[in-house]
Amino acid sequence: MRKGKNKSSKLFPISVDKLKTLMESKFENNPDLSFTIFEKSEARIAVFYISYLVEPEMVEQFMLKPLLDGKSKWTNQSILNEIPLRSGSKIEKLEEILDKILIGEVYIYVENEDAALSYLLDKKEKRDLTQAETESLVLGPKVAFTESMITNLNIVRWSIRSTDLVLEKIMIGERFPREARLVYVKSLADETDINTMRQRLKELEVDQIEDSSVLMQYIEDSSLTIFPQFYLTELPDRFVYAIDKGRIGLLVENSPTATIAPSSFFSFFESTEDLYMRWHAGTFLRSVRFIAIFLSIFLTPLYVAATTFHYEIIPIKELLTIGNSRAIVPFPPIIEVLILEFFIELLREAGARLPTKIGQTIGIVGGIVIGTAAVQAGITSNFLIILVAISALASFTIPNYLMSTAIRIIRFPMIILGGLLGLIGIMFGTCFLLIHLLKIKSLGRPYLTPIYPFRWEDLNKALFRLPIAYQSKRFYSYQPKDIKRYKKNKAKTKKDIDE
Amino acid sequence: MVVEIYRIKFVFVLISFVFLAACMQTKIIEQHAIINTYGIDISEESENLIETVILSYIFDEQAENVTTINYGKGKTIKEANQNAEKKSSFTFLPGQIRLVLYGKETAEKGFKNYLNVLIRDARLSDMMYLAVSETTAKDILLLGQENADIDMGQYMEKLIEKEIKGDSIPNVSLHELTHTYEDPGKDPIMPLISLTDNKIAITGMALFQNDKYVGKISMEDAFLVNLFQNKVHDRQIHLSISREPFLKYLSAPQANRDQLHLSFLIIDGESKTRLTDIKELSYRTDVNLKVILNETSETFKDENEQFANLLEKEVEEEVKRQYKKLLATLQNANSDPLGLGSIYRAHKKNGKLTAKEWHQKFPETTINLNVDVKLINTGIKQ
Amino acid sequence: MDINVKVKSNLRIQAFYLFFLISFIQIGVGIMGVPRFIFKESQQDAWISVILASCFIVMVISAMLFILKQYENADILGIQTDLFGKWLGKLLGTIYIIHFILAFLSVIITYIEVLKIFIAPNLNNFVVALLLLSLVVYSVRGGLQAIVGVFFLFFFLSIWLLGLLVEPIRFMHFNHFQPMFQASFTELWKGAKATSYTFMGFEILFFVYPFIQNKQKVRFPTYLAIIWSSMIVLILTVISIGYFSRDQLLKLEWTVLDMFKIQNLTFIERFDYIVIAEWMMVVVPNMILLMWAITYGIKRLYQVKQKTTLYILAIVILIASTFIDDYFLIRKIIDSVAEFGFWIVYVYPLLLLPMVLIKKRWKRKSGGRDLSH
Repeated sequence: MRKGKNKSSKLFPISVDKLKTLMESKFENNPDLSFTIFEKSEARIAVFYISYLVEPEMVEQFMLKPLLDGKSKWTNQSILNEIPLRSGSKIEKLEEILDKILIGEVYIYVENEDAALSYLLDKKEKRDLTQAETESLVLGPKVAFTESMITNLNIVRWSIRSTDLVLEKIMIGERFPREARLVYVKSLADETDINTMRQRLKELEVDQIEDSSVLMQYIEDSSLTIFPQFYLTELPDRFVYAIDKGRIGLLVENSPTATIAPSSFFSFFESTEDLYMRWHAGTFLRSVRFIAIFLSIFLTPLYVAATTFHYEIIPIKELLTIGNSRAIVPFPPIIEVLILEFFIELLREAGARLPTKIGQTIGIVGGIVIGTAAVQAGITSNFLIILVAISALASFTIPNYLMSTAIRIIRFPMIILGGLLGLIGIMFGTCFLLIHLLKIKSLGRPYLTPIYPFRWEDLNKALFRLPIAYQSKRFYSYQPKDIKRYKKNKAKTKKDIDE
Repeated sequence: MVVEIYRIKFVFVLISFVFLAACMQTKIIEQHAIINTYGIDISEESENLIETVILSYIFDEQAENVTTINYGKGKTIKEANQNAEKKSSFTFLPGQIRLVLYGKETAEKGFKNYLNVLIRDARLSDMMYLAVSETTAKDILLLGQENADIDMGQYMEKLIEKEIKGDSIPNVSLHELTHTYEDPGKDPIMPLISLTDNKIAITGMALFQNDKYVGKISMEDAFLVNLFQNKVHDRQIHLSISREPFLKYLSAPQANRDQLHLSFLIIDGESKTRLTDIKELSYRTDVNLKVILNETSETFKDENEQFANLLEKEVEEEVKRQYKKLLATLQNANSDPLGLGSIYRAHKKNGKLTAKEWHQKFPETTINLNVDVKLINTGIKQ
Repeated sequence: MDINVKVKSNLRIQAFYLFFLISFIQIGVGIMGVPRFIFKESQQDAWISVILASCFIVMVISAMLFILKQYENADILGIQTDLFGKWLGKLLGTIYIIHFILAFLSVIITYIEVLKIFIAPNLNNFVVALLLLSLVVYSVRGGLQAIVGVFFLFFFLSIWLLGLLVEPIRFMHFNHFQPMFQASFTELWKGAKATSYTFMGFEILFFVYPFIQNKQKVRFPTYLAIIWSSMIVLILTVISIGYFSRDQLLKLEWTVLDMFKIQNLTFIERFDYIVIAEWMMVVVPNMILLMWAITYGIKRLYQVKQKTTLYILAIVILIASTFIDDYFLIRKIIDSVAEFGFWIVYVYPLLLLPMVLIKKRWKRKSGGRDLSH
């Protein structure tokens, strides 16, 4: 796949002029290669780099100045000794030079030496640390990952200052390689998981990966399923939380999102905020989210099923309300619901594509103005507007964007099944969904754990939250090497009243 | 990958099959008339012809009223309903029927043949009520059409539901009715709906022998029937007892009155009936009532403990008297809504009893009543 | 054919899942109408019949466990080959498979009939059968591991239905049980036999046994499952006797489902609709496990790929269930499954037991070697 692979015949020693022509031929039509030749005390010294990738001041002050002011005759050794820069190293191969020059290395070549010297004086254009955009927390750290790998590693290190934390480097991409880091805690993460992950990354033969979300799709267990099998997050605290549980993280250069694997279905409904809250609130909020999935998937399909087939199950008062509001609607319920659901998706998509401020306006205009007008014009019933709004709202409570999108999409086949076969159809859809979930694997581990395979000890972490004292263990489901993570700090002796 | 693509194709084929073949008949609510109540009368033209009055909801933009009335005649109820449907632009759906009203004449002929249409169809609710009209069902339901401000179907349903929830009458849902009808030792009863002062009200309960209307009892007696079978809570009761024993307690005795009228709230009421002698068919019933005194027709000067005891005793006597009267009425009509026959069957040797057998025996039964009234308090007034 | 089955360790299941497999496969479609059939035979003492039946089942299952314990890791197909030789063993194995196929067919057509009666009379058989079978095919493709998962998950997702029986319990009449102990032993026995179709399914133990990882723990979940399903049938029978009057009970086809008709909540008027749709979660696991047993059995007997059997059988059953829509035919099929199954499920293991013992003794005498090697 990779073109232009030079034979690694010995390049050096070479004359400076030859080197210049060689480099210029490699960077044909690239005017940014700066190749300067200095002649100093009978030695010809070439300095070359890509101009926009390096810090010019650094080059001038710490490299060119000592180089030109120096008195001795320059050899590789004397340059390494006397130039006040730390990262000097000898490079002998052309492809290595071509590789590294693109990340901002500056090369010095003294004629007739058998290696060029390289110094990393890169200038990284990067944005500042900002608050997370897609995942927002009320409590807890708010910083988000950025596109810079160095920054991301930095942030991760803030939380885990230990040599135990491994940041294994793997290059991905055949044509345009990109750096990825496999992040795990040596003394916690399961060996098989690490090996599986490493193997999948290494076996990947692809020209280029666009983002970590794309990489995730390449290495997922099944690409047919609608559910994401790895957790994608832009929150370092969420990332560290998972690493600390013995799971594996994956950072990709130039991607502000990190991947966590293995991830169970229920981990997509966890938020680190559940930990920061007291356990009552944590449990409550998590159950709100579970109810939200249920509402989001079933509310409108049940409406369709009930109004199309099973008018018997609607209590008489609601029947009159629904009937009266539907009286002027010209469509059958299924079409009505699909129109409205599509309308909500339109709003959401428009809001997501537009800048934040305009997006909000669209939400208000779309939601209130069009909604009211639609009811008055008799396109939909006002009863349904409420249901659709609730189910859309419910889908947004899911902390993970990929999962909430998946849940929203599932609703559509459910609506169609409800419209074709009523409750039987919905039940079929539910059974199918559950069987499907049972068959999915995430990094070789069952997706539906701790429900199946059943792990009693994990239930209080996956489904709800108990006081900290009862959560002293890591997830059994991910089989960390060390299960205990918290020793009770006070001896619990039973006291009588007034003792 | 090839396998996966094949699999996706297969799923698509499957889905399209479902689309093509899914021809479950839709029942979109606004395209149908949803029957809420119907009445059954025997037509004046012929004995075998049934006339139904159907009260249904339609959701139509043009119609100013949600409730509509249709009539139809036919040899079966379904046929009559279908004939009624011919006069409507909507198809009738039976799944939300809440009340079936039998005309008195129909009830006298027996409701047996009209019941099976309700049981046979699984889509009908077991919780619907059945009632008998004092006149014809048509008369009652027609009044609803005239008084357009009330929704007749729901009105009558609520009327009955209120009485059941208030423990005034036993449950008369379809399930309960079928249950008693199929129970040889018990006869069904239904609320009797009639017109009083141009208003629809429950005036009593219709007594049945098997499935035939044989008489009626008042609402007061209906409560006694309910108390005989179920536990009763928070129910008002009004009693008139003899004034004489209380003369010395009265603060200002007025002349020419011979009865004292009292209102109680029954906090808890329950009864237990046992068969004491299977040959003599004598029963013993213990009725326990915990009551609060609410209102008296005359004021007392000193409501002390003796007064309370006396009051309890007199009330016990009155309840006992009412029960005796009720039993006499029931035996006279030879209808047993109390379920004495079920108790008899449960103690009979092989546990088998036919309705015919029991109706021969029922008039001879005796009940030894034992009423225990406990006055918990008399309000904030001493 | 090997007598003992070699199962890869990653395909094995924990013993405690046996509870869900056995209790759930017993409670299938049969339970929807069983109180009536028992009541027909032993009247108000029907509950004694249920207890009698479960005692008998405990006996049968003890025999089954005893037989399986004699071998290292064998299923019924291997045991039969060992006892009766290659050809007779294959024949008996085939009879087992046929029994499963008929049971599968009876489950699917019964459920479709219930759907038609309770939800939509004009429902297309083909569509519902297609839906159900696609679920079956989809999950059987996942292997026993996924099937056990379906059982486990659906067990908890359908167990709440029992909570809906609170309302019927409130309407129970206790004098329906009196006078007690009137039925003769023959009547009780006939009543017990009437439960045979409902309680059927535990013979699956003969097939899944080799897949169990910790075999020393098999007993507890198995007996618990029997007790659990007996309890449920017992509770339902008791409630139906109390809830319905005698003549009413004898006239109702789907007694248990009728009891749900009385339940309503403020937001759902009729719970029976939900219950009947929800019953899919009871029916589907049943069909899945039966289908798995069929495909696995045929693979063991005739070395046909499981996938091949799965697709062919699914299509055959799809066609069959499309055309069977006559009430009396359905009843006839169920009755014949019950009759056929009675001998296979309840009587056969008891006959097998002495043969296994004799064979064991004979082998020890002749070769001094254990049966399993």
